[in-house]
Amino acid sequence: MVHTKENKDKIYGWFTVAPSIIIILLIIVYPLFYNVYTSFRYLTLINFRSGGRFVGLNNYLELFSEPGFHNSLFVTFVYVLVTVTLQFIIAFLIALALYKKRAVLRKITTICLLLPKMITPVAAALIWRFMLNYETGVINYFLSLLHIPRVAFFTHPVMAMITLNIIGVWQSLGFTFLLLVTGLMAMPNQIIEAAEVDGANWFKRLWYIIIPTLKPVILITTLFAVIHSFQVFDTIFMTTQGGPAEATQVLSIYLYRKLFGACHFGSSGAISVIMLIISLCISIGMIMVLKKGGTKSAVN
Amino acid sequence: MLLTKEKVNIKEILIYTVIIIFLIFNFFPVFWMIISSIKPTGLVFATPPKWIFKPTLENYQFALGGGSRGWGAGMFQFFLNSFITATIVTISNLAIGAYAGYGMARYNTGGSTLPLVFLVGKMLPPVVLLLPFFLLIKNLGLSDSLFVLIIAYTATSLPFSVWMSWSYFLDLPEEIEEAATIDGCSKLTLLTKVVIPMASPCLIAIGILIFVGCWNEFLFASTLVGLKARTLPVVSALFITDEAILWGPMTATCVLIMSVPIIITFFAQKYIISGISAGALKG
Repeated sequence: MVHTKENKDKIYGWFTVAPSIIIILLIIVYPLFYNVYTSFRYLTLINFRSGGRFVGLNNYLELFSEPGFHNSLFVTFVYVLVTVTLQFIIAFLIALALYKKRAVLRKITTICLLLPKMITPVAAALIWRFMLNYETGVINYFLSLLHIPRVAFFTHPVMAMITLNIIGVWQSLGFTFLLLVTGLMAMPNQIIEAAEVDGANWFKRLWYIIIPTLKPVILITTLFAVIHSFQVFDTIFMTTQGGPAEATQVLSIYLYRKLFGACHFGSSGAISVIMLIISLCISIGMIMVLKKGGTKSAVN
Repeated sequence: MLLTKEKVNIKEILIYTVIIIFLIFNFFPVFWMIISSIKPTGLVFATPPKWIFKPTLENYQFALGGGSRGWGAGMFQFFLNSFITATIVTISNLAIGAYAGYGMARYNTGGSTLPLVFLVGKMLPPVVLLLPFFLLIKNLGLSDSLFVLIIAYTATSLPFSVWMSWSYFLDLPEEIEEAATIDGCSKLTLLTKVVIPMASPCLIAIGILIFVGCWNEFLFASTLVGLKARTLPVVSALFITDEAILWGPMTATCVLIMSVPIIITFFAQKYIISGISAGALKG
């Protein structure tokens, strides 16, 4: 082998990456394969030491015929859809109001909205549980001042979902706002000014100029919001635990229940694999957005 | 507010009012938690809520070990667990992950495919790893040690730090490093004298986000380890007992736990903002 500078650099490059790759192969990729392996076996707490027995696709078939699983898929879908839509609309409206002028308010808003994202999710969930308590919570007290009857925030099936949506929006609004406002501020100014001179009104400017120019940023932001709300666990686990009667049992809670409640390891392996596939699909969507023009052109 | 150039009109006032009211709503939960944590025991649940009261630290005393059911000296141990775990994970991420990002950007290691592998890793829901981690740890007999958490957090946060430092180094001009190499700088001196000082804003941002992420982590901390390696978020959940929820001490504990990320957010907002937007929008 000739030790040219080029060759040396190549080896050095791999030397820098090697530790990360080894750790990820050992501690992420290997467990994921172990997951797949488990999903094909009948494995519970009882036969756990012997390694269980091979059952083929049985775990998956059982799962697909289970109403609880259908419910979880549906609940996850609703949770992600509502949380992402709400947070996107609110964040986009605030970003539109603040990106060009009002710099002081923009700074204050950014930091205020980011705070819920940074604080410990478990603690945040407990605050909400405390405030939204049916008997003594402060929110129900405020409602009573407005002569609105008490709301069962966590115990009514539909209301529990709405409450969790609001908590989810509260948590991730800052992230979505930050990405959108960064994208908007990096937008070339001439385009908007030209439109203003042409006499286009606010809505037309938004629809025909801002949204098309910002499309890559919007797509990336939405995909991040989707993946974040898909991953939700802490807040639901600390408030409703999936209840009442599975009304808020998203996939991650369902997996947790199967794993630690029912101790059905094979079945929880199958749920993990399905969640993995869903998250891979979202990642692929993101890679496609990045490859197609990328956000770089939109941001810089 | 500087309003000299802008005309103060109704629209302007309306926008300010709406946003400020929204921000107050947004901030209310944290405010309410702090207020409740310094209320005397009898008033925590008073309806209508008491707005004027004599602040007390009894909830904190209880939470920190003064009361009969407090966690006693344990609380300090849990704090130490959280702090040690987060610190080690942060350092290892900077040493391993940021280094890999640097190598990928400068030597084009793995072409355009390898960075995308890390992006996919960054998107992985941690709950997917819960079952294999749980079973593997049982098989290896590793349970109840901080080591488990440190390994799990390091691996799950590596893709993030690799991806972030990679995108930062792509934007950083290469000329200074080239000049230093021509001057006869070795790889190690190049790294310590040139690269690390130049990349410090990015390294600080990665470090802060990883530290806060570990500090806040609950899923693995509550399932993979036992009492000895318990971290603070798990402790706050323990105030929900079978008989009752001890709201007073719980709010105090939550305030203590949250204070770390809140203080970090206020003092390092510049790095957090640049870190979050760069980590997501560049590629």
